[in-house]
Amino acid sequence: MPLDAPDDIFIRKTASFLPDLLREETRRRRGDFTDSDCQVILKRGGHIGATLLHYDRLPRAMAAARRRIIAAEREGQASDGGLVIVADQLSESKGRFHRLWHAPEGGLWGCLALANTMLPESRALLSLAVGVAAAETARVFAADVALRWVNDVLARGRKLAGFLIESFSTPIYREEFDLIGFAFNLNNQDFPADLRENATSLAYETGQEISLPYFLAVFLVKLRWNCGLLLHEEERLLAAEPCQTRHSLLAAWLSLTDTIGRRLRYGFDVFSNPQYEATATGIDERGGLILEHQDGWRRVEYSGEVRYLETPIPC
Amino acid sequence: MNNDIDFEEILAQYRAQPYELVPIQAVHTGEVHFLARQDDEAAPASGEWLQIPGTALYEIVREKNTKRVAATTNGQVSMIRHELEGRFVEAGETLMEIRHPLKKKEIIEAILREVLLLFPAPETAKYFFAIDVQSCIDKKGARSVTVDPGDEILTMSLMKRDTPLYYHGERGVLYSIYFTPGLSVARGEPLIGVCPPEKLPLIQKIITRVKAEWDAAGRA
Repeated sequence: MPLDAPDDIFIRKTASFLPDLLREETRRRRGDFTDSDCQVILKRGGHIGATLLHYDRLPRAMAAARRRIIAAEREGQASDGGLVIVADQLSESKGRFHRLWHAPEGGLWGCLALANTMLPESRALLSLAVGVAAAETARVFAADVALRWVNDVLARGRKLAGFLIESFSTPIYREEFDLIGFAFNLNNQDFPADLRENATSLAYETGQEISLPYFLAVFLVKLRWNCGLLLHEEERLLAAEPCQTRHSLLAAWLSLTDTIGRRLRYGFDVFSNPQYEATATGIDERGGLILEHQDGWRRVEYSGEVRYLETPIPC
Repeated sequence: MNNDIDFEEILAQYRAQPYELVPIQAVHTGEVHFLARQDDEAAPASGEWLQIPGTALYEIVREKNTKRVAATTNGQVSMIRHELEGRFVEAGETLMEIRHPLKKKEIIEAILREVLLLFPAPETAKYFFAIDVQSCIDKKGARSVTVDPGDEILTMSLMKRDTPLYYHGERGVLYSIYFTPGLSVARGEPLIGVCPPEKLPLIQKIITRVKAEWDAAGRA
């Protein structure tokens, strides 16, 4: 299929699951939020996936999203806020620091483009929100799923999903977007030798084939909820409503992570330049990881990555 | 860039007062309580990973949350606004001053910062050079790298979100690098200093002059 020809069947299937999933999401959240809050939150995130494109094959989904946004600007049109592009295969995919990401058929590979409309405080939590959405989605299918700070999704200690978030400004009007590249190992089970020990797929974990359109629909709903939650909390902040409890997104992240309490290695690029070993004791209000050194002193890291030093703890 | 530098005047200032008075400001609004006393010696964060906080200077309380603020530089507490003890202050209010003794290297940097085109950090985050720029630095050194307006020179990394940064100043040579990859840089602090190629001799003159003056005076 040519690069710029969207496949409507995949999109129609995905879209057909959304109404029921949105109703289910509201039902599920009722214990922690009022009905009206649920509706407001899902509405705030409702633009995510409003434009959804699917391709058989792309070099990189983030590059395709960038091209589309730039083209829209050149034609004097508004960009699709919440544009989601997915492809069955990516031929030039990469992770952070240009690490290899194997993206063959069977996985869900894509990009969400969000216009930057958030306050810096909320935007700083975007990485966590994406991770929470992904982990919540994976937990619909498998129980043994946990988040590793910042937003790696692990199943029994092996990587199931990862994200690459890049900001960019459009060339003419300098409108700022966050491009969120997402990659889920779903039905793909054949990994290159250097990834085999550290990667897994949802089909391998569950023993069942995963419906890609259904998985994507669940992920879109979880993204709508968690990104909507950022905007909702932001409104409360701007309205100066007294907030005695922790930010809802941070509470959600803490409920899904297995990082806290773990002995780990930290580094900005932990593979090529590991910096130190410490114990994770919590996260602060900006999502920074609080790390305790052996001498008892603590540091908070707002960037970089961690790898656990002990064997995985069962979720 | 300032071409007309009065070396005598600048050096006379540093000779007369080889100190910098570092203002310590309220990090946010709140009720302030001083922890340091007049003439106390202050030390910055230490430890291999700077995990040991510097000397505690003051506490600030906002909505029952207490934040302890520590020194980020060494020196002597030279002024405390005692009248603010227990009072509510606005963010940015100067609370005290530290008299920081300057070293030769710091004086050279201070003068260069007045002369170079500085590119400040847009957010408190970690920074690294764009791949092409880093590759040039690795091969030939920073001062062989020329940056033009619109060049992607740096990537800002915050909570696993990477933002490319584009140079927007005058064309020039990458003269000074003020950040270390992997360590956070505070918002507004300079990341790099750029010098137009034709003005490199001027920079060299500054360095030679300060070194000569300082060495002659027998200072560090």
